[in-house]
Amino acid sequence: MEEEHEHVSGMAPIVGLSFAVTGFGLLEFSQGNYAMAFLLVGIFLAVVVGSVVKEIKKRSETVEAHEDEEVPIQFKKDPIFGFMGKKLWIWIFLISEVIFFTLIIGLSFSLRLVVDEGLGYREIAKFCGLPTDSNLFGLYPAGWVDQEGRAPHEVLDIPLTTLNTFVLITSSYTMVKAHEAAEKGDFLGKWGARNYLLMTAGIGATFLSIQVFEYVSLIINENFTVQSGLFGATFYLQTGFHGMHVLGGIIMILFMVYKIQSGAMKDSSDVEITGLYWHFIDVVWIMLFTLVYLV
Amino acid sequence: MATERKTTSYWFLDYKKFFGTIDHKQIGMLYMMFSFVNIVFAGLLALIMRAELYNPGKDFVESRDWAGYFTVHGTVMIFFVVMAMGAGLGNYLVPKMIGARDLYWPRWNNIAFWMLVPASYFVWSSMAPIGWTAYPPNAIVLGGDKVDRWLIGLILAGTSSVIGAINFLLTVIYLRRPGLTWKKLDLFTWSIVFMAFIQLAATPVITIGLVMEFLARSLGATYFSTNAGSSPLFWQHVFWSYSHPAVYIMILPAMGLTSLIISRFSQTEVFGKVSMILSMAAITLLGFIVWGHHNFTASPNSPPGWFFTLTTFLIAIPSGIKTFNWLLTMYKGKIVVDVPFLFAISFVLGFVLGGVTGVMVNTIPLDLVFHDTYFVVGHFHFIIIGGALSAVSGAIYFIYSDMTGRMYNRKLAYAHYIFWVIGYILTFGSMNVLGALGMPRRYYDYSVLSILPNYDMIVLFNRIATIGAFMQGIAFTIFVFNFIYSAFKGELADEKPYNIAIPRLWMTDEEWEQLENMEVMH
Ligand SMILES: [Cu+2]
Repeated sequence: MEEEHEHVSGMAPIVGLSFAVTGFGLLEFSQGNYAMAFLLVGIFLAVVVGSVVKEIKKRSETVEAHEDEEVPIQFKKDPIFGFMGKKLWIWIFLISEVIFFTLIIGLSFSLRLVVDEGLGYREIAKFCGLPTDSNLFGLYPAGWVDQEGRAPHEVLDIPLTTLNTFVLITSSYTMVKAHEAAEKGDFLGKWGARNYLLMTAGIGATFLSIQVFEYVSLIINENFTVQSGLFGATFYLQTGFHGMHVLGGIIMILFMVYKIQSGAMKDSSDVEITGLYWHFIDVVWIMLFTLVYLV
Repeated sequence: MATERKTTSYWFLDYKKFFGTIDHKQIGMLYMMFSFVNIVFAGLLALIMRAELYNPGKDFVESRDWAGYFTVHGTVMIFFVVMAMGAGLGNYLVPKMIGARDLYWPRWNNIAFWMLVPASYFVWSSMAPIGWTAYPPNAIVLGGDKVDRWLIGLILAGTSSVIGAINFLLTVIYLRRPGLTWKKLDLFTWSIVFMAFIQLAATPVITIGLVMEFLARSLGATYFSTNAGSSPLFWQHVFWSYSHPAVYIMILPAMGLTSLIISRFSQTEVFGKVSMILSMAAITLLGFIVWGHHNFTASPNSPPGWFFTLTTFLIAIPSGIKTFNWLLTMYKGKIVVDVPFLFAISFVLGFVLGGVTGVMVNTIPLDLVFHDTYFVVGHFHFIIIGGALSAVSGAIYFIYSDMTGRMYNRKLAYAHYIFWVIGYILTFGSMNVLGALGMPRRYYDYSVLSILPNYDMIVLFNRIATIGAFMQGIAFTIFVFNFIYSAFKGELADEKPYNIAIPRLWMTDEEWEQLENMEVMH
């Protein structure tokens, strides 16, 4: 590995600088040029996927494990973090993700508190020294409703989403099976980690397709958009961010499949890490389903 | 450790290394260069603004450009100067401090740096007239793509800082040399750990906020709209619950550097090390529950207001402990006066001046008067310029010979120091006075203030502030000149003038020898 000795990476700066492409994609989005926006974000994703694939391929060609993958002996002895082994990084990353979703859900719910007087807004507003009349300007209907005065259960297709929730829970089950198989060292067999991972990715994709279908029917049939008051705005914020994380999880799973296929997978820890992320996304969805659709 | 003659390597002239380096020292230097470029241009913006304010009336800046100037000045200074310096010095020093070969993820390290370049491009090209706080409804209703550019730039900068934070945490947790327990870890590395924790925990807040503003602008979502029952105040809570902790992202590494430099040049261990670590922990945690002190004027007489004023006062305790510990370290030790040490003193000075004025604006009755005046501007510039940038400058002198193999010019460095300290005291001290006299911030033409009784004083202190700003400009020019000139023409540093490689002081001789045998030192 010539590159390693020189402490130079060709792909890293390309990935870093290609964030400019996403930036321009977002800029096009803000100006209403959606086709261009999706094209640019697509180019960015292609660069990232390409460089990860290249990296996995490179690692599969080297006999010894990559230095990143070695857990230093010193670390294993660490009294606080030692027991986590290689999984530590995903836990650190998940801290950030947990805060992210707690905030999205929390902020959306506090907005709901502001307009849904049934939830005790007046008392809170009085305590905080804020105006106690939540519908000061009366431009939107009062309460947690869209622009036509419809409550969540009147707009959202709850049976469909219940089905979708079960779909996502099923994917958690196949993910557990994938990890089990990987721990036994069964990567490529009929009931091995690779096939279970592919199943998980497939079920995740089904979930996403149903969500896209739900969005389209809400927008076209129900005229329910981000402009539908705070209810509409927070609905798309929460479910949209969750959907993007599901997409990220699917891409991560497909990387793992490629890693198994190319022989770069040395042990089960990568499958476990992917699993932790995937289960996290599931748990977030169950919270969202309860708070956005059912309450 | 042989005293071999170190030759300067101009590695950055090779474009492959310049872009692709995954070496922590080189990436650290890239961060510093990036920060230098940004500070030159953001500093020029500040000088243009100060020059305009020298006279009360309108001189040469157009009113429509003015708001763009102070927005970009503030945003760039925070995200691409001070935070980038923290990341750069962390990159350079942390692996050396803990005896690691590199950061845990060298490639991600490179990616996180190069992400900052597009991020800064978007912020610079925005010139958005919204202030660095981007309060709605102004930030939502403005047309064009200026605000969108600004939002995109900050989303990218936030993503970069989360990657950097995870990398730092993994490095300190995984890669400490054998025997280096958490208790023995030096204070700079501790400060980077706390900084990384804040970045990890606080950045999601601002990301969500920025996305909300972005969607509100591009798709008409009503997150901050009174029409829909929400309020622009909602943004203020989201924004400040990130941006107050963000202050500690900037100041904690500076505190760590100050501890490092003061202990090294007082030739003794930092006084009360455990209390220093606990103070940093207290500052980190308290920093998350004080944001409401930015909104006192919105609902001054409410229990939440009292809560936030109380928690903010509490932060003065760990800050005071740290300050007295630094003084006691100097008192106990044998001081060697040199450039980095003087800059560490300058940090303590700026930190105390900014801290005392901070306690004042946190007092609700005073804040009702000082809110949105130059008093606030003087307060946070003391902390960030007088404090954080002083410590960072000192640290750059401290590691200069290690970075370049050459010695900086000491006379120029002293000149830099004198202009710098006098400059910032004049500028930001005057700003505090101006605020007390009633001058609001963000005015480009303050001739309207002629109705105030102390109008001539307002003009006088504006002029002093401008003179001070130009002194800081001269100081920084000397710094940059010294930095570049000495890298090529400076004396070769025969032996390391400052022993920075590994914090020798807290180690027993046995440990030191063991470490030397491991040859982890560069
Ligand atoms: Cu604050």
